[in-house]
Amino acid sequence: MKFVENMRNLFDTLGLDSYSEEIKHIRRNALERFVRLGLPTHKNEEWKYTNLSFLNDIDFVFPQAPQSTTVNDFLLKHNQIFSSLLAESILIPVVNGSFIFDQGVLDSTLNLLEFRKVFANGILPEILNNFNKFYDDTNPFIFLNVAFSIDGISVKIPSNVTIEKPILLLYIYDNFQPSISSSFAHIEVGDNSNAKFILMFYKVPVEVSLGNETVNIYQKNGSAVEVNVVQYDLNKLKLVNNINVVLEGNASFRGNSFSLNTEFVRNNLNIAFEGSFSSAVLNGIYYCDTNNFVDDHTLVMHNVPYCQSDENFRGILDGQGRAVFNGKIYVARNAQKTNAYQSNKNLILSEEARINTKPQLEIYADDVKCTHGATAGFLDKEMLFYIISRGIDKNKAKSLLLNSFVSVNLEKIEISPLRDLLKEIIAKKLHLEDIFFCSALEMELIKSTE
Amino acid sequence: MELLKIENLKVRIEDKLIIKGLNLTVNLGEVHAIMGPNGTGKSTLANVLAGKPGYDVLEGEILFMGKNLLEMEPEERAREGIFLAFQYPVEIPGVTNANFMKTAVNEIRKYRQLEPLDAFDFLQLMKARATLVGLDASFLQRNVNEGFSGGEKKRNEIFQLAMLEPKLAILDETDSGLDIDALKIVANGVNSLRSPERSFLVITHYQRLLNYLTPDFVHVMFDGKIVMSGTKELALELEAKGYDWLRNGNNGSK
Repeated sequence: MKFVENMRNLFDTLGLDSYSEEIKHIRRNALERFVRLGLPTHKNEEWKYTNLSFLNDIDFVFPQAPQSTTVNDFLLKHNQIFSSLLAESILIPVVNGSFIFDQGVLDSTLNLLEFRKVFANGILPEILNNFNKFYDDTNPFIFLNVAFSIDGISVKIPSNVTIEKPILLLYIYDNFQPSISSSFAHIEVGDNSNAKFILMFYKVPVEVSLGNETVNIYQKNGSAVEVNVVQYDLNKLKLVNNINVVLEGNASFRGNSFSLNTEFVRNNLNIAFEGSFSSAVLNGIYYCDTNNFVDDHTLVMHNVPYCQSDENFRGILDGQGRAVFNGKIYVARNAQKTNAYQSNKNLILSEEARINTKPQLEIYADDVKCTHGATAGFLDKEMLFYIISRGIDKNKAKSLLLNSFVSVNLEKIEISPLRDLLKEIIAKKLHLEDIFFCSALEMELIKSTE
Repeated sequence: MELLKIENLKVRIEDKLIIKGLNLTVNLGEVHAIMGPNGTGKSTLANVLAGKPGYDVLEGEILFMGKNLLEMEPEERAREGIFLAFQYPVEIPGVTNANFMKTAVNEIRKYRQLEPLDAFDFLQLMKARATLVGLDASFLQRNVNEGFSGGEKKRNEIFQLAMLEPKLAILDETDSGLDIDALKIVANGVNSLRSPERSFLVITHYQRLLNYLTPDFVHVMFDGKIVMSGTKELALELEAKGYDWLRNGNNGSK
């Protein structure tokens, strides 16, 4: 109860005066809905394995306003790691819930995009209307997000354009007191347009933050969207990340999710097919050790016939790491000829590590193909022996196999600097830096001497 | 010089005694073939030599260059110079052949107190050795055995053999599943790796590999023991008479 009280009190300090009555009303209603639902407990089916009670022990405030230097500091500090990715992306930092537009917006392709502040004008009701189906009682945080988001943006990509560079939403949490940050982004992708997004999270690990972010994506006919979620080294961050996607016909969505060294992450990735002949591919990797926790909840709603979904999540659990995978596939009565595939594979490396995995199929149509499978196992002994028999140390052999296990999904990432970055992060985690020597330069050598 | 000396080896898998008192001596530079019907313990012998877990050695001794092999971990055996070409090589997605071999070669070099090879030398070496078994350089960037045909997998085994330069190479049914062209490539690869400093233990069900790979000695294994030893003519005799010849009680040593 304390967390709910905390949120209610904070809401009174939000200062809604500058907003229209309509917006105030929406926000108040959203808060009331959150208060009514309360903080989920293990009795809530969708939160059964995800303990949130720690939130009651923290006194949250709103974070300080972002300093203009925060982003620059970050970029300076992390340039080495992210430089190639940053060089090839359109950067939009989101610092403590606020979208910062004076950085990176100079990119000329952004002229193509139409940005609007969601709360400042009357477009919020219309926007939310398209995503109603995702605003239900199973996720109280999504209402808290509407109530609390400092500002929100709406990005409109016109029809028939391809945004070559990925749009990088860099969420930075930088706070000196326990804080709650919320942001709201709405993205509309026009007919036959293509866009790629990266949602990357970064925490300055001074004081605890609760991040509660929402990205709603509306894909018009024939559009193609890729969203990559990168959650890496997130100490002192408790993150609830909501991504909702609606697809019209002939559209395609690809989602890649990557979580490593995260203290507490809950991902809600929801997809709804509203037009036929559309497809969604969802890939995920989570690697939890020490006390890491990741909860990947996915929902694929086949509301219309002739759509295809393909879901593949892989996890490594070590130390006292814990993860939850819940993959729900809903097929409506008229969604005939649906093709839905789901797989969740886990490797468990320690006695205390744990995975709770649950495929959930609700199928009301009778002419569909749906398959699902979940496994939790140990490293393959035959593979391990094969590697060791070549003189390679046992620990290194294990690392190679773990790398091999996740690489299947890493290879599916189409943005090459991102794929390289994540490969590097995994290699570093597995102490394989010295092994992955076949850099671009050496590949050149192979070719040149052919 | 005695490279490998096996004395009275008895091996059990779970409750079943598979090798029932086997003796074998291999000198440096020799090629020995072990033939025999299925289920007679040939692959078990190969796996025990390489140190695969799951085998119970009940009795006997194996000396490799005078050292007690059974006390060594499998990776240590490889570093000492034992190489097993697998009957069923496994696929390792996400690890390229180049990275796999670089790791293995440098671990073995470290063990032998040699400097690691730099990338350029290493790539040159890999390409030379790949050519030996008819694999082109693009193979180096492919993942270990992933999506390889049966023949490619076996050629990859011989490529690895060439890279790791063992003292004792054990070929476990390397000829199985190969068509005649692939068989020739594999045999030529092996022949080019023969040296006075290297011995081979060629385990095979059929004689046909031995047409290309002339052994110095042929042993016949039956029911967990070597029941007959001779030269390459023994293989031909065996081919002509079939393994039933053994089953009919003719199992006295030559």
